[in-house]
Amino acid sequence: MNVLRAFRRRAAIALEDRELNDNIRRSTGMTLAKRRRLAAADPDYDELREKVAAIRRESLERRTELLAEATRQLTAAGVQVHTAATAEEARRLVAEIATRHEARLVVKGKSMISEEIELTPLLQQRGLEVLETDLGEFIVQLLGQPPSHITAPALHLNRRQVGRVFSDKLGADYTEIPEELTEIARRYLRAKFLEADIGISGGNFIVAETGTLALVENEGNIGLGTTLPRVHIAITGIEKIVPRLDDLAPLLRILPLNATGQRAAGYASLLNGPAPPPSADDPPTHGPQEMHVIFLDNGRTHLARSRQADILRCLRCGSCLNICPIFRHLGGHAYGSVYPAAMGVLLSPWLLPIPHKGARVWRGAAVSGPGHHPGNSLADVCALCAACDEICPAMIPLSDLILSAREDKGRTAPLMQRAAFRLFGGFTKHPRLFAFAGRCLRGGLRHLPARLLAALSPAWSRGRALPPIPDKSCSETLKREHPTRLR
Amino acid sequence: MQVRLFIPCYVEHLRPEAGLATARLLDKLGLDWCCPERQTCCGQPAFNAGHRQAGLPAARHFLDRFRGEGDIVSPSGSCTAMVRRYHELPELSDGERDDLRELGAHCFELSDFLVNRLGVTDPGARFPARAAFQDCCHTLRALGLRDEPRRLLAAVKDLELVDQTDTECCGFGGVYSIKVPELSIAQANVRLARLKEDGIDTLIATDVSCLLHIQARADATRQTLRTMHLSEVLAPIGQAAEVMP
Repeated sequence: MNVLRAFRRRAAIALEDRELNDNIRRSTGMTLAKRRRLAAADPDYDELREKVAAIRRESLERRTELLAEATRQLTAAGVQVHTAATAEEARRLVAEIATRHEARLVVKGKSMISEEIELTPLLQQRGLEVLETDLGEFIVQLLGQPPSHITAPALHLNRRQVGRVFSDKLGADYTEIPEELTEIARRYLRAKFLEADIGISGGNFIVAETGTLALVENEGNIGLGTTLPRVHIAITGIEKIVPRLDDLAPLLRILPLNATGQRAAGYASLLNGPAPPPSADDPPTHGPQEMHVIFLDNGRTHLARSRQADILRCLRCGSCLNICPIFRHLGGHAYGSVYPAAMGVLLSPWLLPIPHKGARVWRGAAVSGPGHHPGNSLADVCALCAACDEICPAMIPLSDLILSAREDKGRTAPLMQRAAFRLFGGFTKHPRLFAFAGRCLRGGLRHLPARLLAALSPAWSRGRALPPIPDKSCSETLKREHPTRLR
Repeated sequence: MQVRLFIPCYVEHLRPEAGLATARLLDKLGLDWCCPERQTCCGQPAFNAGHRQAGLPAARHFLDRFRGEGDIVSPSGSCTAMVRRYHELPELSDGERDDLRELGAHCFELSDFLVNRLGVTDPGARFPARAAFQDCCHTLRALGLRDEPRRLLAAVKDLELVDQTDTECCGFGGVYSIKVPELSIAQANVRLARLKEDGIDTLIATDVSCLLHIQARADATRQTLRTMHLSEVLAPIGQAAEVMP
């Protein structure tokens, strides 16, 4: 099915759900307000943003070299490094590690990339218990839903809905007090951390020069999930590598500010490999015995060579979701991809399809087989208001990239559509014809029956009135009132 | 030097008052101005729909109409933003590209022209109303004009401007309004609800296109609303005669 039509069908359902609309508007509004206050109070914010944009530009330009360097450093630190060209390869790698360790229980920290490769259903099919440990992710997992937002997975739900989920699925006494809800989740999850065989995380950034994996979180679950189980697997996109350890300071400052409106995240873990083997002299250390990093390509190299390459500078803060007037109505599910709004519209079509039956989530590229097909982009779902350009901490020109995606799409658009725009273009260089067409349009709008007009322009007229139409055009009146001014 | 008036096609055919009021304002300021005949469309619908090439004839025609000396003024932030991007079009000769870049640098949205080019922040208007101002996305973000229209409106006598600064896009977005109409309308609903909340029935903006969309939704839902282009507030009919000193 045409991706735009599929989107509109889901959007229409979301628009009917007033509770959903209110939840998302309220939640994004609160984050935006906190973010705005912090950014405004920081006299160095613009400088910080420039610095971050420069780091990410460099990361993208030097991506091949940085991947090699990161691989070297991680390997030297005892990390087992893998590269996966496709989602399918990454899935297989994780499954093999799980089999080798005869794992039964996997705890996961919040990771969009594991959603991208649809990891959880795969592991469950293989008989493993997979548990999301981020509170928001835990809630949507209980509901059997994908996350609605890349940093706030359950922002589409209010606390009454969460209370009902916990009482239905966990048998807890109904409560809607956030602290009590958190306590229910904590009690349930704490035991699981101790039992888990494998902890899976994403990776906010990887430092090439030191082979450091940086993870940012607020709940402490990632800290537990990456140190208590005997195996830790981090899956991350190849674009998340940054050159230097020093780069982390600005990145770890700007990310929470934009993601959640916080001066700093609750926790930032910098992981440098598995725990060293126990020895007689040193006190015992904690940490996993085995650590894996999987670098996922999944269409990113192809994207890096395209006109939308700059989207690979994205920090996954989610601020372009929060600020998007469209996202603020719908939440993420309507987009049919785990990455919604500006960053998602740009990234999703490049991701490779997962060739298995019953893929949970619709994905942009699934229709056309391997590689990118611009026709699958939701670039039309944008009013080009450019609010996202203004907020993006990596200074990605998102609205221009969406425009370029529309151009890519335009080149493969149906002949009739291209011909229509050509014809329109032709009109603009023939002023007499253009004026005549304008007169006909006005005449038609003035004199044809309203019902007929509405039937002729359903896309406009369903829910909108047609404007009152003037008898004379502007230039006709100007000519009468200021005869000497026209030339 | 003569100021040239650029009349966008939707002003020409759907909302001529904005062009006429801009002309009155130029008269009132005692400026020497003219309006080149045979203007068409700036080509933005094609450009924003991803058919950049189809915008080429519009850019060349605009160059033909507006080549030469003097500032170009338009009662539209959106069309001005388009003209400023003409030099990005494909298949231009180097000469054309330079000319279009030069042309873009001399093309101004009305509030930009008044405040930053002429240094006029009070054209001496009176407009008795309680109104809100709508930031049009292209005026605000493509042209970076946040304070200019507000300064002009603050000087208007008997106008009570209710501050609604943190509003978002009204949902017009050109082709977007008919490609994804449900969302376009949902966005207008948010804007209209905000107006209703503050009991405002007059909305002022720098672009007629956004106003047409919001007005169309208000009319369909029977919400009382009067939309006004900035120029109509700065030079209401009947206040044009007195030329500013």
